[in-house]
Amino acid sequence: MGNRSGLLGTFEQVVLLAILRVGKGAYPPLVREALEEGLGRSVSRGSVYVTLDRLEEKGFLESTQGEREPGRSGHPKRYLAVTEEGAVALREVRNTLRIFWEDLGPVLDAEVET
Amino acid sequence: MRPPRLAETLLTVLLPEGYRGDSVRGDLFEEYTERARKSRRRAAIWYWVEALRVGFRYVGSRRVPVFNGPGRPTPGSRLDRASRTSWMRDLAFDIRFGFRGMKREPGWSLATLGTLGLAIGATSGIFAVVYGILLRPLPYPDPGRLVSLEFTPSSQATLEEASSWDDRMRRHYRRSITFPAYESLARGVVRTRRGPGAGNDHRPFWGLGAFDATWSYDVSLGEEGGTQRLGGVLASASLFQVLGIPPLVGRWTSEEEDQPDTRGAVLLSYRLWQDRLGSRRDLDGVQATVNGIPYTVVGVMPPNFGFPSETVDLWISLSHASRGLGSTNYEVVGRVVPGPDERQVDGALASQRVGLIRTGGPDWEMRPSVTPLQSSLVGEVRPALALLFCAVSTLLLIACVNVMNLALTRATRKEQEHGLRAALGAGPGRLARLLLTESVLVSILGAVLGLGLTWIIVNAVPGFAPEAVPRKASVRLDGAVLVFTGAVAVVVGLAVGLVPALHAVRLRSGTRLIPGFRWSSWGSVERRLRDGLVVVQLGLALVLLVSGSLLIRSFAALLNEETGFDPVSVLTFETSLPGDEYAEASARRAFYQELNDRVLSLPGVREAGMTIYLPAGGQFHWGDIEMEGHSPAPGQEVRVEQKEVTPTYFDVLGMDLLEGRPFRAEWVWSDAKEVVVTESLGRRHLAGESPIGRRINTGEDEWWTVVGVVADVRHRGAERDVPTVFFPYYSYRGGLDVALKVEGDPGVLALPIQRILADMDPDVTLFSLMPLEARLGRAVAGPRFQAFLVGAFGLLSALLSVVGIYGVMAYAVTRRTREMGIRRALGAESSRIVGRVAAHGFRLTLFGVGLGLVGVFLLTGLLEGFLFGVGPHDPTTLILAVSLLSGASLVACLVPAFRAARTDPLLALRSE
Repeated sequence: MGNRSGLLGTFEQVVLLAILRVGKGAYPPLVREALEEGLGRSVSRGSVYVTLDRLEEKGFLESTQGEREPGRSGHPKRYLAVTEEGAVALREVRNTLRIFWEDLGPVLDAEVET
Repeated sequence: MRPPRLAETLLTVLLPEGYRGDSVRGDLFEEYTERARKSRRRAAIWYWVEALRVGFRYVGSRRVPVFNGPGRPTPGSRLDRASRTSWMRDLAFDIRFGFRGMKREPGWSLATLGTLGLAIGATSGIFAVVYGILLRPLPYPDPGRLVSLEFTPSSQATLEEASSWDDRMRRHYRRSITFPAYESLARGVVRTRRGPGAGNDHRPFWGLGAFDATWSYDVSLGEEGGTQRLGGVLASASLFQVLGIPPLVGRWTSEEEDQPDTRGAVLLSYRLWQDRLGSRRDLDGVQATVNGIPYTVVGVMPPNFGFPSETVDLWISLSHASRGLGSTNYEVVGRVVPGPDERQVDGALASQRVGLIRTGGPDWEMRPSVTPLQSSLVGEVRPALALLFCAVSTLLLIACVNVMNLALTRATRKEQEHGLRAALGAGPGRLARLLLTESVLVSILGAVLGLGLTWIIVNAVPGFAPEAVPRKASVRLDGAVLVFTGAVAVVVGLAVGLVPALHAVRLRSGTRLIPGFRWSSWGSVERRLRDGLVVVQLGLALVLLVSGSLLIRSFAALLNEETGFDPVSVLTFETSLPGDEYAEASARRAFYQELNDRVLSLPGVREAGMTIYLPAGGQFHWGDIEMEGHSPAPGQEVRVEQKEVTPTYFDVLGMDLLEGRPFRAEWVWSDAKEVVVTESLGRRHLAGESPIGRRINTGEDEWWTVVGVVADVRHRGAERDVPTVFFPYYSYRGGLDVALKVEGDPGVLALPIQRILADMDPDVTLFSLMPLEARLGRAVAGPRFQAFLVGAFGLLSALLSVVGIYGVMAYAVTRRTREMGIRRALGAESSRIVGRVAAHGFRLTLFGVGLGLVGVFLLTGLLEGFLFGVGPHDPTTLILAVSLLSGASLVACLVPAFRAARTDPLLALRSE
């Protein structure tokens, strides 16, 4: 398996991380909540769903169909879990960034004149 | 608690199939339930917004499988679904594109949305009125089979006599017959047996019902007493079977209760039942006293029942109704058997004759025919509503032209963008669709805004429209109106978007990428198109402005009309006498003598006069007279309105005596053979000679001498210029109308007058107690309504078209900034530049006004029936409207012209 981190956009990364944060029982509304909390801004439901679909198509996450619940008018929940591939991709992103960040702390932390 | 159905369905369509889509719906449902616990309405709104956002986000992101193979996908296959999805994806994209475009150009969006909102909102509002009154089916079961009967003279003698009837009389006798005539007609045309046993019964009606809605009644209900004057209808028991609306409480009246001299029964309106009986369901023993006669209350009709009009509160059985041959007041409705159409029913009725027996001449013979109940209930307001709808449609047209012009301007501005899109591979079809979707979107948004105006119109009309307008309660903002609004929005959107779309399609890729490459052939086509639109717009606006001004002037003429009398400080009421007690003329005289004396003793009453009909009441009495020394040619008989009045009548109404003297006032009842005439008698029939001293004969070989001449009495409704002969009150059989000249507030006299009449004879009915001015006001309510609305539409349209011409001129100047700059740089004087620009605007104005004048001459003739005291081509109105419109439009041209003259040459050259 080659390096797949290039396939992960920023929003995709945080979505995957949010799923991991929620842990077991993660499903879209909880993930969205975690995203909003972490990002400190509101996130539209549509973009969450679309991103989830895309990540699943790429194989970075998998979803399982839950029971049909009466509190959801008989619709099932879609439980989300990050796949091994997803975890690998996240790690690669982190490593890549770490390499680039090394030694740059003083430069970026200082006031930058534009 | 369920989310809005429609939003759910929409989601199902937009989301992918399978459990993924399902789970999204589950998520939204969960959150909806949570929110709905706090506020269901907010939750529903939230659900709608999210359904649209999520749904379209999904559609917009979907990957489209490329379909390269020949032929079409099998319906229902995955490929078919995919092509449908791609269509939806395009739509979602186009919609998003439209929103973005609007956001980027707030000025343009505001102008477009405002114009369209105003015009579509007004159009929908008037449509709601027209639909509610004219088109909405009547609220009765199987309303198509309900008909109203009409009667036309059938014998030669009746026909000849009818030729001299005036309009109101003709209308009355077309609808109304006597009760005996109704009964004999019913025997002839109503099937007696139904079902399979009907055999060879070919009579065309299941049932006929008669009603008399001429009067209103003094009613007290239950034990609490307190008499109230209410709108009531004398109705045969069969009427309710014909209409087929069951009572809410109790039962209908029965045929037995229609028999003379039995205990009668009444049905109450829902409103009256609520107000006066506190909605009690137990009606046992409740009685209603109607004009002093006790009736049993047998039932209550449901809230939406209002026959023949919404103002009726009481349906009264015929037990005490006048069945005399002189009471031609019964209108007839029927329910036709299933099957035959109107013509066949008329055929079946052809053999029927209705005789109207008269005392004073040969009997009239009438032939019945049918007309749909709906059109007979609303027939008289149809022209006025048609007028309003025409006016508002013109307004819509003008708004469309305005928006079209704005869109054209914008399309030209965006030439480069469209050219770029074309260069990048957008086909002409795709580009056109993009622009059309955008324009439909704007139009729909405008319509949604306009619904506010629609709502205002729908709610204001019942209060503002004249009393006589029927079915006002069925004017509602409902599904039908929304469908109409939607359809208008889409059509307007497509029409408005067509020109820019064509413009974009004509672009060849690349050509428009070059900045400044403009003076192409399209440029001149476009310029001419834009100019043409402005000319059309000005023309339409002029027609509407002239129409509105004419109606306003006509209304003003009505108000300021030289009526020949002074209605200020005159209180009036009408009385009606019960038949038997007052059969003798002496009894009637005695009664009114006493009434006269007693009202005169009330504080504040200065003078009392009585007459058989007050002016502006809509009633009249016609007849031919013979004049001494005047032998008219055949067909030129002297036709006059005849009125019996007491001597003080002229004083009370402040009528000017022009010649001679009034009746001798010392006699309250004069039996001198003297008459007073209006001046038009002499003008019309005596070639201007004074009629004083002449003797006239009413045909009963009684000769009367003319002793006085008063000014003509005119009021809207009465045939103008028809002379009136005033006879001294002597023997008129009916009740009299009373007019009192009062000091101070006439309102305080209402109760004392009621007391006097109740004290003198509780069986005498008092009605229409109101100031004479209020009577006149009622007569102008219709013209006021039309004048206000059409006038408002006229002004609005003028405003829109002035904005339109300003827009075009301003745009032309902007486009020619470079040219102006060069001219300025080469030393052209400001005045010349102003002149050049303004000349263009003047030309457009000239053409527009010319076109409008042609329209005015062709169209305002249709207004003739609505006008009073002003002709359809009234020059003053024309000049005023033309100068207003052209003045405003010239100002609109000069503003951009001066701006052009101030163009900084350097700035202008740099602008490209």
